[in-house]
Amino acid sequence: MNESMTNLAVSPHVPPWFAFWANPIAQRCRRARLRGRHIAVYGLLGLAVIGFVFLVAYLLPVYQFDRPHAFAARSAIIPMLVIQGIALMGMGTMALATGIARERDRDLLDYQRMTPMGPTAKILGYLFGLPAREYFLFGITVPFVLYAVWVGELPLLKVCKYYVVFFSAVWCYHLTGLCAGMVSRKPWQSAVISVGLVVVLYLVLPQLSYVGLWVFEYLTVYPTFFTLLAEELNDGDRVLVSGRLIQMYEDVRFFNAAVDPLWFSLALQGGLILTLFTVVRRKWIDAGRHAFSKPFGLGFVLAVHVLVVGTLWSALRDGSILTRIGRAMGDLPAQATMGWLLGLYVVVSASAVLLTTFLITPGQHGARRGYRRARKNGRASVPMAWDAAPALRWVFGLVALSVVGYAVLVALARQNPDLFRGPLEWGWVGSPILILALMALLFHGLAERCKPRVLLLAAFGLWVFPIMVGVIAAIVLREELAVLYLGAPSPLIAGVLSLVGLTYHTGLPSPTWDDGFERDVLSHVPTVITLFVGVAAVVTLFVQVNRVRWMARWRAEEAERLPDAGV
Amino acid sequence: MASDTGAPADGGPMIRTADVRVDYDDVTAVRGLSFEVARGEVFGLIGPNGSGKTSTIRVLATLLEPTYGEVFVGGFDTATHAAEARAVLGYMPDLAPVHDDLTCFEFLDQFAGAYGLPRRDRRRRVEECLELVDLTAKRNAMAGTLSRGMTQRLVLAKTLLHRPAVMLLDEPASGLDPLARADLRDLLRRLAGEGVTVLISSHILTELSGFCTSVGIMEQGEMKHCGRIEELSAHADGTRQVVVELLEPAEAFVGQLDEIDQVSRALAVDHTATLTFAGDEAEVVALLRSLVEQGMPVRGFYERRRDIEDLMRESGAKEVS
Repeated sequence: MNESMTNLAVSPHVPPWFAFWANPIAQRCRRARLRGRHIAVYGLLGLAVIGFVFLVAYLLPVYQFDRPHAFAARSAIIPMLVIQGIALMGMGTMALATGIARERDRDLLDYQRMTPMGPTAKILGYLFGLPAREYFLFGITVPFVLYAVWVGELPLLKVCKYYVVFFSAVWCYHLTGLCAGMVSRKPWQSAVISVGLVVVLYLVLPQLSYVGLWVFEYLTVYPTFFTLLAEELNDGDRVLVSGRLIQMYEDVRFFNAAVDPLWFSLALQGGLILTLFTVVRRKWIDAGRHAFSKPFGLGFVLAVHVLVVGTLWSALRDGSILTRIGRAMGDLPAQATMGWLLGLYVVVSASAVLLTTFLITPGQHGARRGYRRARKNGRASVPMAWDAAPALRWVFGLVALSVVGYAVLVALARQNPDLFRGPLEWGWVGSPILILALMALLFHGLAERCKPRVLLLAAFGLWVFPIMVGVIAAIVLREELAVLYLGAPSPLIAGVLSLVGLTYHTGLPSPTWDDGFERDVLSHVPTVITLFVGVAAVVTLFVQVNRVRWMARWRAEEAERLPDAGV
Repeated sequence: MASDTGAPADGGPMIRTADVRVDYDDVTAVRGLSFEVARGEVFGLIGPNGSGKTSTIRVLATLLEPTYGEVFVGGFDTATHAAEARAVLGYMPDLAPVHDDLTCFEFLDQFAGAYGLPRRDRRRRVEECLELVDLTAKRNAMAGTLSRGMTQRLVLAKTLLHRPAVMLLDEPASGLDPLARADLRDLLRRLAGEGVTVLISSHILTELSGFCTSVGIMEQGEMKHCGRIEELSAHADGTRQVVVELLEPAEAFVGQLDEIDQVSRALAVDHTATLTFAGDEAEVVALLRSLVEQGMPVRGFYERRRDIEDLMRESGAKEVS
């Protein structure tokens, strides 16, 4: 090795986050993924396939069905949009997930972590760099789309608006891929997770629109496409998109307002982008950080509740919407549909609360480390917003949000004389939310006191195992009620029964109930729920007391070990 | 606080740790680690596999938060001023990964950009670093096609790009051929001469002997010995190791040597006897005279200072090559 060290001073010209053109990570990804040979191969293959698809879609109506060129051009735009979606949403998301997972797996991220670029610049570098090849494929489709827009005489403004939502959705999915890549252990795992997440976001969650939660459909480009472009594609009696689909996506009913689907999509996707970006940024700064800070977790759950309540609000106020949902559910009467919607709220609310509880609760070692850090900074205890702080107060906050949302929906339903009968029975109305609260508190206690594996085992043992025992007992004893009673400690059994009970006791008599239902099942429900509440309350109390005593014990150990630090 | 050059303003140590502990769940990788490294030192962190060297280096590199303890790099507390500490750090991890799909130049160029080197100086600095590690000929080769040793050198070049004041090198010589190791030693000596503080870890003694100015020997997460080589090589009990080379097998003379008052132990291996001798330098000279006068066939006679290997052996460390 020759030595030619000079005393050249390094002046910091670190690229800021907005300087995409100078972002070294994006440049590096572009260099690696878009070399001349890549451009030649992907360019030729992409051009051939995309050109073929476009020409078939364009020429077929003209030469086989004597359609005008404008109509043919409009029909040819649809496959282009599909190809763009596959390239950026599917392949692009996978490229991000596998790319970042590979860098993490090989410790290459450590190099980047140590450079003085800001975390936002680094994340944006990967976000726009890793899918470089997919952006290139997208670029190949652009001339075809422009030709179709020109010949098809589509309004340019509407096309531009569509692409605003399209890219918003793309970055949503790309950040999902980045998140998956940063948490999974191997690149192939991240590919599977990211594809799974895209399928869930794009195909599974929108299905909830049929049962009342149409909010998730706005994470896709469907509503924008159908409200902005679909009508433009039809030409009198020459129909490319069914009118029924177009009508499905009229203005979004949110609380009492009718919101433009474009703005609703942008707001929803923007919220998800912010959430995912926050997670990636926190993990980037320190892989040991929680995905959510405690205040962010509270804000996230608040946003989820506002979305769900705002969506269900219109359904509970508007009989026609309720009827439509009931029809989609197999001709349920309105009062049963109401019970279903409240149940849906409880399920979504419980999912958000449990997920957030898991994300904001410190593990054993994290709690001790945070306490040590706090003492070093001259504090007597860990500030409540720190990752390492006990999460109990925050979990109470999350549960309170659930209770408020539930109370709002029940109050709303009470205003509709067709939905509630007689006086409010607090036992039935309150049991679903009481079950949710006990679940959250027990889950928190276990998450903070136990290691992740023990938490998983305890959750399985308390919530799933009783059902399995109940099923076996029911088979052996030929007694179906064994499932209810032996499975009572599980919130899955108690939760479903509480919602069934709520629907039955608060709703009007329904022909859908089986004749023997009340005698065989419903009469046992109060006992089963009481059994759950009793068992869950005792276990939760035990776990929480144990947690507090354990914390006191290790804090005493730490206090002995640590210098006074001025506390 | 540190000065603009990355050195602590008070001229204190460039690396300082106090009571550092690193836990991975129930496993304690490092415990009670306290040591200092002054500016311009080449500090060898030695220990068998699993002794906590890599965890220590990752803590110093701000990539791992210690469970307890304080860490200062370049005068910056890594817990509160990680960004400032990183600015003075150059880190080369064990197994030094590279981006396989980039050329050597592109690999270095991206980090030159990320470290904020001005565009006009970037190319020159990258070429300089390639030359420093003798990879100029491989400038346009894909990093994925390099041999293990070349890859190590490429990552070393990356570490040098921003002229760090503190370099943390985790097993940098693994995979290097003997010539490249000698070059690495020369380069590190040169950098230390320019005031760069180098902390280098290895479990292979021969990699570090001869150019470290101070060492720390780790065993099961604890620092068994730490200090400057010359301080450590002096025996704590004041005895000396005197080696006597004889023309005949030494075994025959062991009894005779044991009878000398100041010799507490005599070990014979082939034609060599190693004596544990209590006395000053003048008495060592007197010992030689006495052996010759007794008619022993002395062919060689010298005092052996304790080296790193002796320290390792005394600390009970295993798995040393």
